Amino acid sequence: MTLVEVRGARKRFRNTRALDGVDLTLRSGEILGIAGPNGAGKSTLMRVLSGEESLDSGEILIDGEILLASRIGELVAVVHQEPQVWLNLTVAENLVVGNEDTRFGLPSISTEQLKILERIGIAHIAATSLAECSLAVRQRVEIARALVRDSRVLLFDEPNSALTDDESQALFQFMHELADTGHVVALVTHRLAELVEHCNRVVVIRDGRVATELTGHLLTETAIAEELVAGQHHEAKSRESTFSSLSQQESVVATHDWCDTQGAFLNISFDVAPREIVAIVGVEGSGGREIVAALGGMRPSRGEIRVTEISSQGEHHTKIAYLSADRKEMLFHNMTVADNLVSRLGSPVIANRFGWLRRRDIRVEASSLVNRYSVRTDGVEQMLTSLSGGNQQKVAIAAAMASNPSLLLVEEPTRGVDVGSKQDIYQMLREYADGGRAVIAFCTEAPEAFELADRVMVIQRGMCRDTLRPADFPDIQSFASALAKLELINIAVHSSHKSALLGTPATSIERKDLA
Amino acid sequence: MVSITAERAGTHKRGLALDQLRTAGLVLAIILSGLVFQSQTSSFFSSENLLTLLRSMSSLGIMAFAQMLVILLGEIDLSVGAIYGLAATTVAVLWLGGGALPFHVPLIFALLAAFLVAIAIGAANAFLTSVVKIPSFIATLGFLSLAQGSELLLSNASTFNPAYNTPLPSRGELRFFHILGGSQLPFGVPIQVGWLAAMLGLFWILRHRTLFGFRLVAIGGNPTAAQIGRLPIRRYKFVVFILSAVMAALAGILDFSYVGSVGPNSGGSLVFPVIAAVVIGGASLNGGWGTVSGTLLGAALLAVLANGLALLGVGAFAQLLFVGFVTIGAVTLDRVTRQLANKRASRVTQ
Repeated sequence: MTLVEVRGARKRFRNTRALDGVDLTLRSGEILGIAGPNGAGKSTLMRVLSGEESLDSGEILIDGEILLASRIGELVAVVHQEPQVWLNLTVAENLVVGNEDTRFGLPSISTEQLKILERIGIAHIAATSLAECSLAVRQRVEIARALVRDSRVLLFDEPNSALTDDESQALFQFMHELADTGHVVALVTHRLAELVEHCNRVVVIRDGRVATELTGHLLTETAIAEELVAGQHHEAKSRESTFSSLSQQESVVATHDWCDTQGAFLNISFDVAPREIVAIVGVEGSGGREIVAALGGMRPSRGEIRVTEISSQGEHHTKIAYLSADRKEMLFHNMTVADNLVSRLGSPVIANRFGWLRRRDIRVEASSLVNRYSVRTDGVEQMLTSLSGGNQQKVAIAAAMASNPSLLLVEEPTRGVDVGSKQDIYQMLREYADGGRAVIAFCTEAPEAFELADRVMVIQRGMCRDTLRPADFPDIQSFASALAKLELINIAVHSSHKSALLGTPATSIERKDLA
Repeated sequence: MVSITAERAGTHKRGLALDQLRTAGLVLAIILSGLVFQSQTSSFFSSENLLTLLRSMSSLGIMAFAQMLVILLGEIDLSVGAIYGLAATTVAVLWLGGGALPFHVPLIFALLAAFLVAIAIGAANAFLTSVVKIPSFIATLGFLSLAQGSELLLSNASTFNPAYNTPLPSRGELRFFHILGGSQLPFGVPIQVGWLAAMLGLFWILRHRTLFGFRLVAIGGNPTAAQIGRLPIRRYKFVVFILSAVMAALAGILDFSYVGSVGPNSGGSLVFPVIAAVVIGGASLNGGWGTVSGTLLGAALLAVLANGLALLGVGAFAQLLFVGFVTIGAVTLDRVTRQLANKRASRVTQ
């Protein structure tokens, strides 16, 4: 019997309070579900629970003993969405690494470790290189490593977001087994159906605290969904539909029966008109993010896509500009603010015909971008790294807008950005669209989709499940509940389809494993 | 708000100050070692010796400027020393006959052929790096060996000396070839110093005044962002690797002209000082950082050491030790100052 207690856990990162007094108890013998909207502190809680991060204040007790982060790491293991294992080693060697039985000789797998492999159902492929194994097997290897280290607490972080349904079922069955044999098991997932089906208790984390705990007959998908969106009392700005008369204009983007080559989405058909902002919404693994990336040319896809070039008064013009969710992937930290802002521009604007750089034009262009998009900086010749995260984000978006694309693609436009900058960024995108261009944004948060978009496409299991118009909703609360219901509930409806769609190319090894 | 402003100002100054500090440090190191040598031999600061010194660093400098662009992109070119030797040998074998070829051609065609060979190797390096996606370390290491082998096969490992060759080339050709690297400009300045100055100007403009240099910094600083921003990454890699190979060929041919003869494996030991000069000059092997002036100073420091140590009568073997120490020392110092600066900046923000 193991008992993990979290008392008054607090953790700040710079200006954000990730954990604001979390009290939580985890018991062996049950599966605890942890749910929460993005940015609520879930992942921080997981890192703290696994000893990857130490607390600012508060304590974590395991069996009544207060433990430091370093010691927690020995007792608690995390099973990640992307397993942290060695693909260059065999299944058996993966278990041995770090637990070698010898100091000088060639280490070999011990009988105990072999027993764990048997228990977990992958002993027959012990000599197979992990690079040849499926994600499900890799995940099991990670679990096996936790058992080898005798971890008593196992945290599953979105463990099945990339697994097929059969693999998921096998995983959940194993989680129940672990709970039954005295381990503490916790599950973090976006999928409400799974929380209801497999967990004895579900806590909802909101704003860095445990907002509620649901058990017994109170534990339903609707109840969780309502808790997830509660508290989003942002002032719903009075919005008229800035966008109208869709049918009269020719669309900027038109896709028809468009599929991802790797199966992340299937038969997507939609149009985007000039001046329109479309938000694509979906949980991780739904295919929403991939749709935006594929439009940006960052993923291989097939099917029909037509992007119309909108004539514009500017001289330079590109068709599509893409912004990834990770700021690090879009900005140049070795360059100044000005250089970042003009980094996507070329010959007519910042250099002459012969490639001679026009330093003065760069400064002028950058200064006008900085003013137009209210980037807060002490001067465009500063290094980019001197800006705050929100202002760096504005620079990244402004740099893409500077090349004046007909279609602007943004993944999570305000990730890791403070509230003030968020509003600025929404306004930037709105003004950009109002210039007769189209914007497609992948959003993970309901308030963002509500404030930003004219139209919200809800993606589930690689298909467009429904389309919402934020203008049809009286307030953000009702919009968020409607969205959560579409996004999260009844995922199982299309499940048989998904395994056909997302089924990873199975080798014989994987099949054996599943059987 | 106050703290934010302080942080901004701090970071801004830090970026500039570090660059200036590095330049100042390099200049100081060059002057100090000069003074030490002067105190021991008294001939170090003579104008004659300084011109010799500048001449001796010309091929190193020319190759280092181009190498700096490669390193700025986050790649490396290890084949430059071998290309240096191969180009000189190609000129010699095609022009003078002998070696493995049964014919010979006029000098101008031989020079053309040498540069074509260099362009081909540079393009192959770029192809392997950017299309086949082999790390440039391996691709150029392969061409180091390939070029060296071709050189030895082509020349039968013999030494070529145009002025004493049979048949003797025409006087005009001999004169032209001598002018390339062995003649003197007015005021007794060796022509190789002129080449160095010309290349310094060319590369400074390329790096600091053109769209090309601007985008090199971007691509080297963050390849992913460059890809997302649709910058022409592949084309730039071709240009940069070809520039590096062509500069190596130029340096090899100029040195051949200056020395008056070329023997087997003449550039084999050049690749280390070339890369060392770039790195001492403040470039980062991770890409995104590197200046022409820094590279020039890096090459100058190495040249001063080589020259001074030679004046002191320290053998070539011991010189190798010094070059090793200086390279490691300079980069270590740079890293330590950077860390100190970072630490101080973070303390300010708290």
